Amino acid sequence: MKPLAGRPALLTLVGALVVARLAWHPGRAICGQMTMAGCLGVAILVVAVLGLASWIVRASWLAISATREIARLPRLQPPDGLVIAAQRTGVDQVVCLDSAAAAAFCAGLLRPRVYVTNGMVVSLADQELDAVLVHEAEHAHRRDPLRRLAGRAAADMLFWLPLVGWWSRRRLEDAELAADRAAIRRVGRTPLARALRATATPVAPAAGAGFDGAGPARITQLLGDPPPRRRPPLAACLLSGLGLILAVSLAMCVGQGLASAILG
Amino acid sequence: MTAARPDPTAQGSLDRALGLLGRLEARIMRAVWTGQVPEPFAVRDVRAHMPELAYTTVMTTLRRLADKGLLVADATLGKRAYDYRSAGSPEAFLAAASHREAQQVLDRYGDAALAAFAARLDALTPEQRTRLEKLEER
Repeated sequence: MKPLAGRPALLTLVGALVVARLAWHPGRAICGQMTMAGCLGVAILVVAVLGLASWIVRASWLAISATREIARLPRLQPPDGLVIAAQRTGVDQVVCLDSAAAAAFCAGLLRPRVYVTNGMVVSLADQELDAVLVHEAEHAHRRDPLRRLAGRAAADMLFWLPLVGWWSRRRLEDAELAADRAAIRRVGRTPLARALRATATPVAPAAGAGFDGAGPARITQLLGDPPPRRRPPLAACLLSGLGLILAVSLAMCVGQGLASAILG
Repeated sequence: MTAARPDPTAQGSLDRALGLLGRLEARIMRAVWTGQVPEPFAVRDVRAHMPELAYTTVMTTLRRLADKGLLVADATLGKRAYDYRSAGSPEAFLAAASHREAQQVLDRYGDAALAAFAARLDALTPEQRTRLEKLEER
């Protein structure tokens, strides 16, 4: 979970919401007419509609910008080594990118494809490249790019429910473990271990990037150790409870305002 | 007698590299990479080829190109102006740019719209590290 202290804009927004709630005293006329259940129902509806709308906007923004940037990456005719590896593993729709960086990923929301850089092709042995292709093909099969987009958009817009962020990261980790299991079944543990080591991200990515926090869990699975217990942190649970109370409370004010406007 | 034709691969790399730059940056780097401006060069050497550009415009653009890593600026004792030279070929610039672009896309959308293979292994325990090395040696 990203600490609020490290995100000044988010901290300001949360502070502003708390101040707004404390300063807002809606009229009592409508409040008196509505039952508590009715008031809560309207509030939950308001929260759900606003949450859904913001999720759609965020997901669309992420989808458009990611698609545009991936389309801009320079491509190459796949080298023979990649073509042969794709035939050997039965992975189709492999795109070769012109980059010296050893990288491979699966992208595409409706028709996911496997992208491999020529730097990756030259830096890995045949079996290691097979492990990478099978791993990424499993992501494509599971439609993980689309799932990640949905989870990330939800985590971004429901920032006041840190449990959503925790759940999103857990799904991401599950997806990586499933893709690794597919690679282990098809190619074996050793080639996957070598490929992971050869492509390991050397330093922690910049703040906000965090593109793969599943490394330790993947190695645990690779070594055949029992998976670590993954309970949501207590702080995330407490903050989520507080966030929900604050959101519904604010939405009750908004709901009363809407009811006043509609009912006169 | 036939005129020497430019290597189409090199010409393609040059065009692609220039396409990644701003208009004025591309104009200056074309002159540098094609040898029209002999290295090392100063602002006045570039202006000799592009007299319509103001001195400060060329100076600012050269500094920006040096900041981007396309040029190397050498300070000479007793001279106020820097001497510039190319930091590498268009191919080297393209390789660095594509490396950077791929990494930026992974950093930006790695947990949002794509699933990257690479993982961070810096959080492993020494025992896990040793076992992983043994697994790799099998």
